[in-house]
Amino acid sequence: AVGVPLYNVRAAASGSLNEWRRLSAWSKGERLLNGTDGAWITAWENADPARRRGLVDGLQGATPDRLSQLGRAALEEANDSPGLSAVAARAALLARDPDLFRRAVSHGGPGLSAALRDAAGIFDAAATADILRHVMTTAAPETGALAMAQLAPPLLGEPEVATLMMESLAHRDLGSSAALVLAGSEDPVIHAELARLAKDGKALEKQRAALSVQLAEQRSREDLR
Amino acid sequence: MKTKSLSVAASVLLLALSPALMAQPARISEWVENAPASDNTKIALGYPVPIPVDTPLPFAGFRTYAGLHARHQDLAATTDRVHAMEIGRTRNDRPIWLYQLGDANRETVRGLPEQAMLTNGGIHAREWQSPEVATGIIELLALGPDDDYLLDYLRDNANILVLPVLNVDGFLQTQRFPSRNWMGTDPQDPEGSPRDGRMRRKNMLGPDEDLLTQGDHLLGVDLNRNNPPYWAANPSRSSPDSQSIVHHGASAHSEPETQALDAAAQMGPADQLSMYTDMHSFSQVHFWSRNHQERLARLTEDLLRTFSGHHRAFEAGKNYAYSNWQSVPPNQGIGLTDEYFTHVYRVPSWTLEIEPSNGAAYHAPLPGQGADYGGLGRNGHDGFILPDSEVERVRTELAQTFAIAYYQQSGPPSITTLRIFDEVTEAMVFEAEWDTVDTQTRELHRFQAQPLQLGRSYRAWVAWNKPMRWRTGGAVSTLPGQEFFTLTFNRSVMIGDRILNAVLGDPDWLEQPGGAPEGFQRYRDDAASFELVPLDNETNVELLQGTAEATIELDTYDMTGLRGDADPSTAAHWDNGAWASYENSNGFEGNDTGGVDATIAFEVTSESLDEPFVIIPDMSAMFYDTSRNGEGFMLEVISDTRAIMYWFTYDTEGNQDWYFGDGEIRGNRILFPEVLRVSGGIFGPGFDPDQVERTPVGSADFAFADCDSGVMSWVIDRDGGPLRTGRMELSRLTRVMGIPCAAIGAPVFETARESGSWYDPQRSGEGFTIEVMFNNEVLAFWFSYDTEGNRRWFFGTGIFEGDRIVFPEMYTTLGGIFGDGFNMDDVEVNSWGSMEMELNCTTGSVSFEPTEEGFPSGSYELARLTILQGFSCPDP
Repeated sequence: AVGVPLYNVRAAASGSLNEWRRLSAWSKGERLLNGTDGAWITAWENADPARRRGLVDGLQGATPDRLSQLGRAALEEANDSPGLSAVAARAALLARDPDLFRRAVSHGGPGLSAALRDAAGIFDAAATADILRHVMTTAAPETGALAMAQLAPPLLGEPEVATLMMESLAHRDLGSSAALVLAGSEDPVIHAELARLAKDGKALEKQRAALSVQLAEQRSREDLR
Repeated sequence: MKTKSLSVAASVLLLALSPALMAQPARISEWVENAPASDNTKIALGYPVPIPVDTPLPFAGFRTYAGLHARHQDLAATTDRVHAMEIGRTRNDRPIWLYQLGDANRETVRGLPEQAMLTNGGIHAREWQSPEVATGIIELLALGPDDDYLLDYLRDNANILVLPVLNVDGFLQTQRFPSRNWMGTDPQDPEGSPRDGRMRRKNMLGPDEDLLTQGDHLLGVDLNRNNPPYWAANPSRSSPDSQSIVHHGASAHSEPETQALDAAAQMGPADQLSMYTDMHSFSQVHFWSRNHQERLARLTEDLLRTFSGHHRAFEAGKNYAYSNWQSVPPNQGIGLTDEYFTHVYRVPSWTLEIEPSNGAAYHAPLPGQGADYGGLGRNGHDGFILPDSEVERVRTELAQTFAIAYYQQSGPPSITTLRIFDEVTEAMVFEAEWDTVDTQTRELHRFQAQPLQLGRSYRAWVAWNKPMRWRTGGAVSTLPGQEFFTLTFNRSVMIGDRILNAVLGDPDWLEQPGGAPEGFQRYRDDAASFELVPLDNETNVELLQGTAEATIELDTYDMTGLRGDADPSTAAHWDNGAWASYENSNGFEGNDTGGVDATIAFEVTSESLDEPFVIIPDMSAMFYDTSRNGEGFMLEVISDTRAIMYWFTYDTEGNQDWYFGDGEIRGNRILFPEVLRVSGGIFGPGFDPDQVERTPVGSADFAFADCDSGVMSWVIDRDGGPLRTGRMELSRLTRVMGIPCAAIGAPVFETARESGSWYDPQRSGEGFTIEVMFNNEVLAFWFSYDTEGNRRWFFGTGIFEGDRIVFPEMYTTLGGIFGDGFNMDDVEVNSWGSMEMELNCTTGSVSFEPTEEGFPSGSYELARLTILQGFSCPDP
């Protein structure tokens, strides 16, 4: 072995306790769903990481209306408790509520990556494109970039999304994300336009187009391996 | 993760409790959030399995290699603070990138070689924390604010090299399979050690990139066992078996990746290195090794103390444990990169094992591994999988701590400047400044306008070569993790070995720009000022015996506890395992302690003197350095607070050049925070004022002891070329009618008011400065261009003929060299042509007939640009 404890008693004991906490919070969360939103949110805010996960696990059995209601309430508290935006996003996915989802993601905060990854399998292309556009224009750059990475690649065939990515090349913060997304495109028209901008574009747009061309070449080399 | 154990930890290896005793088939197992312990195809983490995202921007999670690489390259393309270098190629021929942070040069703002610090990430593929932290460092230096403080200091004065992913092939393999790996196949530990896929550690020598091909999945070289001098030296910690998790490879540095790391060191260059860190995870410790040098060992421990103390002060309170130097056995190793840097480059070097902890006693109450974050702790390797929720904190806070470590290893503090100001007149009565002579030495420049007088109030202003104080809530405080002694700033004034009685007020550390005496020098809190009053008492009068030289003793520490270099004449730097030229109070340089700076002396007198000289209108004149005949300055005092300066000089090739500045008068000084260079003009009819650009390229300060003499210092640091600095002793060359600064009794005519600057409003970007001298002759300088756009200047002396000023001969020069290369014997003065002017206080005209080939004759209308203080024009 290389210094990794094969069986760390303290970690394992703590892990068992964490598992018990998660499961008990799951049950408790299901009960709390019968009460007020505030009670559920307070319980989440006061919980340790394992219990928080259990409370979110307990959302699986709730009705869409109940999930949407709780999600909206959670979002209102997300300024004070940033992790609640991910709770709202998870509730929105379970409720298949794209409006709540885009609001939750736009709010930003930790834990949104997994929710964004799952969104494409739950919402249709039009709703996903709408979420993408909304998040890019309203959220912090880090969140906008995350949405671009998770939602845009399968939508590049949509002219509106491809145009949105092209236009974003000149964006101070999102330009590198657009470059990376566009580098993954298999559309020769997009690559021709990137090559043109890399040669004749202006300022940031030109730099990002050149970056995209460079990244696309690297992808090609990877594909040929 | 390293094989060394820091000590016997609470995380006891209890094989007896492990499922390892039960034979299990070879299989692909998957990391999941939740699963029953009985399912041998799954390993539950107890938190969501991090999946890397193809995004360049940082978020609460891990980025893919493509995302990280896009980020690095984008910052290199869109900022001037990240400089990308392909430093080698991997075993599978992928480029390995190194990033130099800050400015692109390897020189401090004072022209000394920068200390270089190399931080390596991603040597072990599965340790995803380290490329994120490396990228966090790049992001902090590239995008952190222009703070005039720590970040700007590091950008300007340190050569920070970050290699974010060394084992690119392996890293990509882990990210292709972010939740899957083999179990039951490790020959030494089949059920304890997941291999390949997410848990690949080694490079890709041997295996293909298909996880499902079982026969090759154990192959590869552990790049952190592939290094001299202890390559293959410890058979229990590294192995010749290519399937071993610690396979050391065919020979020392056999792998292109370890060769690339050494190539990165050369970018310091290697002889400027002062720190190396190899980032790994996990166990939340610093591992380090020793050679035979005790000083290197002590200084490494000092650095680790700074690092851990700073990091522990964050709210998360993460403690990075380390051994003290006596506990680290010298000259032992197993082939690690930190051993290589310790022994070969002799710099503080360590392996940083990023969190989580391993549950050791010194980390109590943390249980260790993923359980530190509420995870299940079912397999020790879950420590390699930091939850997404922790990534942002770890990335940003470790980056900040690294910045502090870089600050410490950029070198000990050294006094650059001492200035003493008369409190009443604001005159600078004394200045001492250390000028860089070459890469290792400085010389002290001193200027004393007047001895300090007993009983008179002064303000002393001292500046160092780095920011010296931390602030919390706006107030000076210790740097997080540092001790109170770092705030010490002791001062005394000595006459010989006796103390001069003086009031030395509490120091004010300066956080506002502006320079002496109220502002910092270059970085916030790099300067302090304090009241200085030599007491007028019998003891001092007896001590001085009239006028005597006093030495000021200054003793302080930087934010990390490095004491000042007691002798700045030799520049402290890292050399062969310790600080060199870092003298203590006795001038001894072998103990890395620094000491009291007692290198600056000034005159103090018990006699009663006149008020110190201050700038008056009569300082409008030409000044030059008598050792540099052929270049000089035209100064125009245009108000109580403002003066214009034209500097007629040369470029580095022997051609004419000129600069100008608009300065502020303070006491006996004129400060030009911006020296401007004008470009885009041409001589004659093709001139287009819209093409003219005025670019700040440096700064200049003038200080006068009296009407006729003073000093000036200059810095050219913003023209895109190398840093250039210099200073000149100034002597007066002209006396202007009406303001001659001397009792010469010459009459003052109405023509005197024509002195000042003139230009053609259609040709903004060139112009004339005129001095009607005390004898009614007129000195004119024309700052212009040639027809190719090169800056040129022409000058001559004219006489009044009716309304006209006739300059029968205008001259130009050739052969001077800017800065140190100047030799006045090389300056040629040549006739350029003739010129006539008509000036009527506010308007005028000029005509000229050049004789130098290529210059057309012509005439322009003129308007007044400046009028000297003391003169005015009648209302029209």
